[in-house]
Amino acid sequence: MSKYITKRVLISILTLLAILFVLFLMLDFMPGSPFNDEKLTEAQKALLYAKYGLDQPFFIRFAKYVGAVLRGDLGFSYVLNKNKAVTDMIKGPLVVSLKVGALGMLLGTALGLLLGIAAALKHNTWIDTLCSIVSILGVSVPSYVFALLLAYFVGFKMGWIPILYSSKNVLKSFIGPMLALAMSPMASVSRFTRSEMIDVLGSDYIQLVESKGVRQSNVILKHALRNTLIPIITIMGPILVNLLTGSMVVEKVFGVPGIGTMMVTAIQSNDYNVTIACAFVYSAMYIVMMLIIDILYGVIDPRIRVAKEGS
Amino acid sequence: MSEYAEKHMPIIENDWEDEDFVFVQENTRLKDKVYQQTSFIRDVWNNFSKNKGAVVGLVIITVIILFAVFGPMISGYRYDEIILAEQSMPPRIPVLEKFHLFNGVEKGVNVYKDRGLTDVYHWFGTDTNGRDLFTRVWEGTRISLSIAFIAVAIDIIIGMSYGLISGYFGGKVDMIMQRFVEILNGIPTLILVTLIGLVLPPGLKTIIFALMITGWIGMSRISRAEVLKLKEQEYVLASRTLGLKSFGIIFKEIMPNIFGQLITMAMFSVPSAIFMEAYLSFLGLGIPAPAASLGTLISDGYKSLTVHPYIIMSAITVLALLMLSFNLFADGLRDAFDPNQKH
Repeated sequence: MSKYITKRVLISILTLLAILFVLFLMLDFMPGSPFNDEKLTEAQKALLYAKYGLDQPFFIRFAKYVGAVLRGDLGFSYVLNKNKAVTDMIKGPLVVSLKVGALGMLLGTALGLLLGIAAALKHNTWIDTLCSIVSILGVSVPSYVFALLLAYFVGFKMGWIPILYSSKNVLKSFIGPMLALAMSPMASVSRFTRSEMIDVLGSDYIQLVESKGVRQSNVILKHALRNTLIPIITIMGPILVNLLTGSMVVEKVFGVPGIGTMMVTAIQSNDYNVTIACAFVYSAMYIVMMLIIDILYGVIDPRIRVAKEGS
Repeated sequence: MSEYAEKHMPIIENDWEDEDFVFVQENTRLKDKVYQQTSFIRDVWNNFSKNKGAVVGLVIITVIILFAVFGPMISGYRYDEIILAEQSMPPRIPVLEKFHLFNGVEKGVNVYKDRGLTDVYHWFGTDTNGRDLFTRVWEGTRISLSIAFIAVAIDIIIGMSYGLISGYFGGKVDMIMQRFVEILNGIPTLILVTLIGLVLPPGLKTIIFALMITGWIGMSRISRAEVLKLKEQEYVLASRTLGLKSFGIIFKEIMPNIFGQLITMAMFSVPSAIFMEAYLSFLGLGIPAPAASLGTLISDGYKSLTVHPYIIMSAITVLALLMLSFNLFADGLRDAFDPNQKH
């Protein structure tokens, strides 16, 4: 077990380094230098470069950059919020984004479970058909299309939810983005739950439990559901990816002041430092979550561990 | 024969046939009944056509591709043609005029009559610059689809070769190649795509390149897994015994056997490529104007969502239909190629 975890952690660290390297390359390639002033002579420029360490070899600068990022120093914003430390700018939006994302994930998973169980119990009825329609729609229609449709029909036409985020009514403002983000997890979870549940319900131990006379609700909740839930962890990875992908544009559509909106705005106004910082935060979150899922799955299902160690 | 014999001897029924007196080789009755052989493609098609959703998906894809090819020709407008007098007109379609959505009425006003353009028809309306949306939507679909197809084709070539080589050689080669994939796979695609879009000049090539960078990983996984299974088979051993070199075995013997799975995977990749393109365009990193893709149309329409909602609706509908039908189609294809697999 510890060998498996060490390996996963090592690979995650390498991935993080790879991302930092890409980001550093970006910074290096960005057009323009901070010392573009025409009045500066070559000698003065050389002095300035020396002062900021820009004359040093590539890899030393990279090492310094990694050190700075690990200390939480992500540079300063040039455009959006002049000379403010990016780390300070990101903290607030990150919390908002995490809240919206977690809510969407919870809602989606809960609805998906309900729908999947219902479809499995009423196998081959209209509920089952409904479940497959909903899941194929949710898997294939991108979340920001849902966001746009929600914003227009439910928000603008019917006026049930606010189209734009307002800090006065945070809870109500969360409804739109939450629903839009919940679609994709709901679809994947319901699809998966349905097929797993049908398998489990047909197994011998469920027949045994049923023939012992255990109540139907107990059969499902206590015996069937538990064994259905384990494999669902496998699809948590792709779901998280979709959620991250979706959150950027969905936040922008509803004007939620999260990290997605910040990144989109930073891209559109060429604020490189903020863009790169947001990219780093997204990647770091992604890597940590994938690591947790992998380890969790290894703990629950020893076969995965063995297979991955063997290869 | 005597009378007695005719009366008392049983008549032997002639239960033989003429055929019993020919050579065995020519006797059709003694040959094994062989059912008509069906080819692999026919098998796949038979399985596929049983799946209603998949057939519907295929039909929608075909219709959309036809429109994407011929739509811009039949509309009578060019995609970058700006008509200042015809800005922001709602949809109006000749025969469907009587119905609510296609009568050229917006907020109770018939915009066409209002501006004295009674014989002008914009089937999907016009955008805020006065460009015909029908032309632009299909032109955009064409560009989005070509981006997706080119990107996926490149993905297949790179991913397949990578996976085949990694899986076939195994050992250290596989170790190093797989660690590289794991690290690359750890980087969120979206971030990588965004960063590439930022650094390179906007345009078709940049988008295709960005999609290509991570898109091949899925393909390489599938081909590697298949090779690991197939390389122990006897026909591979036979080829090796006959002196075929590794590359010959990989590309001549093993590759044809994993094609079905790769095609299925490719069909699943098309919608995600279309989505990525739309996403990049939404960030403003898409194809520069006046050219259009579904993504740029959606991001343009988004700006006037509450004023002129129809501008975004046609593009959104096509995008959603396209992604939905490709997913349905790929689902059907997967089951058709591998009917035993449980999903």
